[in-house]
Amino acid sequence: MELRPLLGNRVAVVYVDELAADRKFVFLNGTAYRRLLTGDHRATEREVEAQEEFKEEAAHTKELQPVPGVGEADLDLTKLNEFIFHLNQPKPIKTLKPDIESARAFLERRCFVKDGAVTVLGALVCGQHPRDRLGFRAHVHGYVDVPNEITRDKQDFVDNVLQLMESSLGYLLRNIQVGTSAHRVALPSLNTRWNFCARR
Amino acid sequence: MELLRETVNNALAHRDYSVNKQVILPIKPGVHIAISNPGAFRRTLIIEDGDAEIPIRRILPEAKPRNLKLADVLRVFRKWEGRGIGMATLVDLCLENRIDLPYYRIYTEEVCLYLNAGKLVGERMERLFTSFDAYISERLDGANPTEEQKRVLAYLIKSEWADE
Repeated sequence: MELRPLLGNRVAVVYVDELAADRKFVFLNGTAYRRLLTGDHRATEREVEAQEEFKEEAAHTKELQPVPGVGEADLDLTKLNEFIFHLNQPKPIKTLKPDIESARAFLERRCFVKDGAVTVLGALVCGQHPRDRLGFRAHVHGYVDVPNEITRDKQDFVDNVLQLMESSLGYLLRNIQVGTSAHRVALPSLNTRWNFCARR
Repeated sequence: MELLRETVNNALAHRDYSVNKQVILPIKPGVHIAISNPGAFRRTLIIEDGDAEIPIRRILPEAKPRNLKLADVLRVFRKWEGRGIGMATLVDLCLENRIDLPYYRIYTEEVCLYLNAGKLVGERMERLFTSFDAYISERLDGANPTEEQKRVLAYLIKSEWADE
C-alpha cells in the first residue's frame, strides 16, 4: 500500500494481485465484474459459464503439476530423444538433443518442465527413477483372484507411462489365457453398476 | 487384444495423476477382468435416475482427453488415438455379441471398469427369451425376434439388471 497526494488530499493506493485464473470469478452480491482499463464491467452469464467450464478443465489438467524436488537433471535424455524420434515420424520436425540443457525450450513447450520444475507429465514420459519420483502414480498392480496363492500371479509394475502400458497389456494377455479356458463362463454377482450410454 | 490394449491405454491416459494411488488389474478367471484407476467422471457426463421405476445410470463418452498434454504425447507413440472411442468401442463390440455388457463401478476417487467373460446373448439370455417366446412373438406380430433384436433387448435387460 502507498499514500499519494491527489488534489490536495492523500489517497491510499492498495495493490491487489490478480486472482489466479482457476479461482475467478469473485461475486459481489451475486454479480461478477471484469476489470477493463479503469472500469469494472459486469460479467455476462455466458462469460461466467465459460469461466466455470475453464475451471473444471483446469482442475483436470493434473498432469501439469510440478513434482516436488525433481529437476531437469532427473530427466532421462535417451527417453526424451526416443520421444523426439517418434515425433519426427514420418517427417523430421525436431533434432535430437545432445543434452538436457539444449532441450530446455522443447521441454517447456511440451510442458515436461514448468518454471524449472519437472511436471508429472515430464516424469511420466521421460523421468528417471519413476518409483522414487512419482510413487503410486507410476504403479500398476495386477493379481489373479483365485483361492490358490501360487496361481495368483501378483505383479507390480513401476515404470514410465509407455512401459507401464506395455507391461499391463502383457500381464492381462498372459493371464486371460488361463482365465477363459480353465473355467466355465459365468456372470459375477453384482452391486450398483454403471453402463455406457450406447451412443457416440 | 486390441480391445484390451485400448482399455489399458485409456486407463493410464485418463487416470487422475493428482491422486497418489496405483492402477489395479484384478482378473477373476472365467468371470471378469477389471481395471481400476484413480479418478472420477465429470458430473456432466453422468445420467442418473436411481429412483425411477426403471432405474437408469449411464455414462456419456467423453470427447476430450482428461490429461490433454499427456494425450498429445501418447498420440505421438500411437498409444492413444484421440477419438475418444474407448467406451463406444466396448458398446459396439457388446452389441455385436462379441463381449458381455461392460460396466463401471464408481467409488470415491476411483472408477473400475469390468469386462465380463461370455457374451451379451449367452445361455442365460437365450433361456429367458425362450421362457417369454409367446409374449415376444405376440409383440412382434407373430414373428420371431431377429439376432439384432435379441441383442438390443439383451443389452437393455442386462443394463436394467445392472442399474438396480
